[in-house]
Amino acid sequence: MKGLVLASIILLLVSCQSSIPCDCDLSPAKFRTFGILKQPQLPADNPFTFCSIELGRKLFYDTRLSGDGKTSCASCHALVMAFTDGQSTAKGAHGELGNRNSPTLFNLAWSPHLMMEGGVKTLELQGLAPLLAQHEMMGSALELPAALTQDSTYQQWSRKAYHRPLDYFVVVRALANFQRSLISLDSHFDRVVYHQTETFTESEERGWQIFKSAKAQCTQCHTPPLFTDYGFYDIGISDTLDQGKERESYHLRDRYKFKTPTLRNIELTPPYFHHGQVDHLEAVIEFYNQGGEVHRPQKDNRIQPQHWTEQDKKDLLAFLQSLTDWNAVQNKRWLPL
Amino acid sequence: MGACAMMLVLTQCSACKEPQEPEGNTDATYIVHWITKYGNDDLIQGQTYRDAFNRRLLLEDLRGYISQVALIDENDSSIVLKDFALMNWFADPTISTAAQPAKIKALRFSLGIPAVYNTSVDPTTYPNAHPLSVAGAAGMFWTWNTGYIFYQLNGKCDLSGSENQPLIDPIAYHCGDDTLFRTITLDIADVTVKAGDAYQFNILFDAQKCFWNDQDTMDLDVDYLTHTSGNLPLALRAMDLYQSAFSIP
Repeated sequence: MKGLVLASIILLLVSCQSSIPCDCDLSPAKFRTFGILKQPQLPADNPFTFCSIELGRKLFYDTRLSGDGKTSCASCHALVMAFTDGQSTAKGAHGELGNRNSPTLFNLAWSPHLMMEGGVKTLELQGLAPLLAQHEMMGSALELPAALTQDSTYQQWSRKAYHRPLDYFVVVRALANFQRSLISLDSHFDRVVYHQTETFTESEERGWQIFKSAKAQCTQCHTPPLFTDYGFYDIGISDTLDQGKERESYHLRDRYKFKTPTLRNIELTPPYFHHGQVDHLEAVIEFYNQGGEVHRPQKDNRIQPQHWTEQDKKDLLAFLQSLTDWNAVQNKRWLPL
Repeated sequence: MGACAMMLVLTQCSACKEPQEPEGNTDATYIVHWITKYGNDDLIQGQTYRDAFNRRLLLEDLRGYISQVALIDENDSSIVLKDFALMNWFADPTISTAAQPAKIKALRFSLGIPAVYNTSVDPTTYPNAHPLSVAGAAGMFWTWNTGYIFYQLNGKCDLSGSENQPLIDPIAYHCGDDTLFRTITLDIADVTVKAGDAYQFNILFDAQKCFWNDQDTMDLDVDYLTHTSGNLPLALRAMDLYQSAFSIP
């Protein structure tokens, strides 16, 4: 009997080695919204449990999901860069270059649509795009690699969280829940504006006043607290290779329109714009100061020359830097298991 | 009295006799087979054919979703053979099912996926064997803009007009959007299919009509590429031509 108990303990110790826990927590996870936002709406078929989040976290960093076995979600979405990659356009499996700049993954729980033209409505469906795209992870649509489906941790967690073996149903749901858990609402701006526990510097304050002024109208689209309105606009970028929203809507009036990106953590996510055409935040400010690069009928008429002084531009930069959430980008719960 | 009682028992037994199961198979087997051609030639993957301008073209991939495949009986009722199928038009496409006997007067099927399934249902929720699943779709699903590719034709042609040059100019019609959904009804001479019978209905799919018919002609010099987005007008034309390729032989 003692031998059996000892054997059981040894077996448990062996199977629970490494930092990966044997069991996962099925209790529902809560969103930490810092009192700034309401709880987001959740899909009925994807319980937001700690177990599903941890499963998604493990998958997010797993290169075995990709066609070359070397590319994971994190290859283009690194925590230290607010889940971007610092590249103009993403580099996928086998070095395939993508055609869009990698977006941040923070605060996607509140996003009503995904992709820059908004053609995907749920985080669950969105997961299929990078997993299967030839220029991204180049995964097989036919089946997941055996190395994944036979992984004992995946087997256990998948059955526990979703009552089925690891398959695409589980993968996209777990990844969606991990991404939903990526919340960044703890910047200096938040502590000044929403919690009044800190104050802006003079430069930040001037920048904030310009940003929300009736002349600049930045908050019309980059609307706090998420600093996006999830709308689609042509802001007058000269690049014309990508048709933007027109690809999804088939309307000529949507040509060159792209979804408003959030400005949270913006200083950590260069280069900027949908193809990463602009390297520095200062250049982005100058772009808006000039009223865009090109002027087309569908260009949003709020993008007008601003005639900002050098000091105005420095103040705007200081304000934008106040949107960086240093706690979020160092959160160890979002690093690999 | 004894005889009366016996008669009553016999009568009651007869009246209470349980209905007998009819002998043999009560269903009929319905088979729908698509005869695939390119003009007068058999349709073969990798075969070289001619376009409307006598230029050489090579067909590499020719697939499409069909849905709500049904037979229409004399009462206008539908006998559904298949809800969804991904058809490889190079691969002897046939669908069959067993159903009640009927007098059939038409065949009906749709090209594409009905709107309610096209973008609203997550493909990961289907089992792998289902044609709308991630595996079953085999690439016939757009992930960047949720929805299925209804019809996909990939190939190459030679725009030089030479008979010796390699076929290098691409042809790609990838059509899929709710506005491209089409339903085809093909009338036939009434066919009575009896219980236990197996009856095959043939439909002609002439791939040549994917390039030209009486109403429209694809000029592969300019009409060679659509992913629907970016070139919806060409996708609409391609879908109209594709629809015209189906007829009763």
